[in-house]
Amino acid sequence: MKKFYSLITFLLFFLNLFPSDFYGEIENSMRINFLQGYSFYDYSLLDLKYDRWMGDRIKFYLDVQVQTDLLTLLKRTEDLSFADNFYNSDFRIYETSLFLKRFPFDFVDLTFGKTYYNPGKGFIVSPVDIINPDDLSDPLKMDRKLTKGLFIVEMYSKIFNLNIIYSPFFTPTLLPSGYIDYSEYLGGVNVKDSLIFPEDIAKSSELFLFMIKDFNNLQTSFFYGYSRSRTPLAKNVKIIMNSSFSAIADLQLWFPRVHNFGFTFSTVLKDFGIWGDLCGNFVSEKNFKIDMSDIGRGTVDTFNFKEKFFFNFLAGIDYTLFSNYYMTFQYVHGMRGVYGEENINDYFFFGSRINLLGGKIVFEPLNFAYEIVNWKNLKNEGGLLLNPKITFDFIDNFSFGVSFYYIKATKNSYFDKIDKKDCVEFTTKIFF
Amino acid sequence: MKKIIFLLLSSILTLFLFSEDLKPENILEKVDSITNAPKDQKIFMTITLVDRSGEKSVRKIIMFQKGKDKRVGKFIYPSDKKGIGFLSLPPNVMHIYLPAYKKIKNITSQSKNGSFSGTDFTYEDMEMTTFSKDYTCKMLSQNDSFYNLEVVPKKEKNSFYEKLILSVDKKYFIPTRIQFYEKGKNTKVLERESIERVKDYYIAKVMVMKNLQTGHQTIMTYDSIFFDTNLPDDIFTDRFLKE
Repeated sequence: MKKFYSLITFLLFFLNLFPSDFYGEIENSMRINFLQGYSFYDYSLLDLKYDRWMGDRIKFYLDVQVQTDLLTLLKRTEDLSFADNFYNSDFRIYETSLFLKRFPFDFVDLTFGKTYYNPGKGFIVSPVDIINPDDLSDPLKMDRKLTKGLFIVEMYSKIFNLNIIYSPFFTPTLLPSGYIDYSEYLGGVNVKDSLIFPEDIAKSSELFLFMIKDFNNLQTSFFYGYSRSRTPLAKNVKIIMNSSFSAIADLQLWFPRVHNFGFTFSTVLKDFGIWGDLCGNFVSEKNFKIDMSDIGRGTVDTFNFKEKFFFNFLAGIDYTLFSNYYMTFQYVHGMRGVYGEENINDYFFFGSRINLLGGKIVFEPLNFAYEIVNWKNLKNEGGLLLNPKITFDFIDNFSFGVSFYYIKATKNSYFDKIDKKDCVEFTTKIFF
Repeated sequence: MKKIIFLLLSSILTLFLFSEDLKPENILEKVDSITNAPKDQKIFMTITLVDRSGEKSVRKIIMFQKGKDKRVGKFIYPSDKKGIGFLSLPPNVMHIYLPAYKKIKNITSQSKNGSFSGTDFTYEDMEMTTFSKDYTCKMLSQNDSFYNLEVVPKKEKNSFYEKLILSVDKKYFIPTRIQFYEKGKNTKVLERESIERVKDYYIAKVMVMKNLQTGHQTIMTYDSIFFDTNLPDDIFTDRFLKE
């Protein structure tokens, strides 16, 4: 913690040297889990941004983050010997990019660097936001993305706009520990897993094309993507006898090639905002092999899911009532990083926002999501997430929020993976 | 004597000719011709929000306008709003850009009545307006200094307001006071102050929007303004919003 404060002091001193160029925020979040016994979690984040136009055509952007997490794994007296053990600090360059305006031609803009590109129209999640991997390290923050090395070419014409996004480095989704667990499928044997990553730049490269056309209030885009699965899929597993009475499963996982295509749209119909995203996915390889020759049973060819081709899609609508009561509703078929139609669940997201006292209090009483695993058994197969929130914004550059998470989910649901995270969260933000 | 009678008659005729009251429609046309006279404008603006207790908070934006109906703006201060942009185009198109998500969002006509970044101006207030085209009008009264007009938005304007009452300064043909009515109630008042001549145009450098229901007010002050700099059309695009 001392290090964090020293770093902040140094950075603030540094900022004072160039006060006009840097901006950002300091955020602290405290969570008190209360349903399964009381526990406490705390993190602080310094998000420092810098952008500068160099002339009229080149813009440099930098976003540096320092995050400290309170560790709750202090188990031995030895752990108490070092202050550094109490907090885990993480320094990262979240984004650094160069934007070249009207280069090399007047109708072209180029961006390259570690950045992100979110083409989907969806609210919180979108099946079309496949370029940057998800950051699920904090499962309560569903909209977080990882940045990655991208080369973005945006071409503008009167007929349509074309965006080409090339990513030379494959990056998988960041998962919380225990997110992928094959032991249940492998008869409860101990699983030792390993990941197979693309070997060279040709295999790790990904390419996305977006054709964008706007008609007044109707915005549309069609796209094609040559990517890879973001979460690992089983490639093969070998069951090995460990001793006379136990076996281990040597599991190899990989990220097979995926062809994506689809479209997005958003428009305004009378007083309603309407949007939709559709993403067709063709996974090049779905089979995996179970080698049980070591235990005298031969080899079985099976698959991660039945069909190679499946769709993810969403449709959403929003409306503003009485000028300051905003409501939104979204139906989503398929959560991120889930492959195969039979593994896909359905979700309903509801959002609401009331601005009180001229926006000084923002109250979000009806934020909730419902997950359906099996339409024929709604009661027993699904999940519910409640997340009401209130934010106070009385002083310039300072906000304080209280939110509440309640998650109840059955097995096979995505929300089950974030169950037992019920908490009250207090968030303080200072902008500079 | 003949000369005197001739002078008297010609004076009466002159008075008759030039003191003829303008029709309300003509007044609105004149207002539009004054308000929308510059071919284009680049404005650096400070927005000060003042609550009932006098607490102030400040925002700064850069705004570009072209012709009668194109407007684009970007926040440059404070840091949590930096980069947020809005684009208003005919007919009734409004986009906002949210840099945190790098996404552009449509604004519905209903949402246009939402507060523009916590100010007392709505998104609709930030749109370019052509009164003579978008409103029907009638004269309520006039005195030596002002025409008082009642203007009612046409259906295609998709306005949230029921009507506006404009006090148009007879000297400059600028509406120096606008009362906004919603459901029979006067909810807001906009006052334009510090009228100055810049280049060949008259502008009100200070605008004060008072919310009569909450006591909150927003003061928009032009820090600097540039007219007729031949702004290119591609400023008024999503491409510019994202830059």
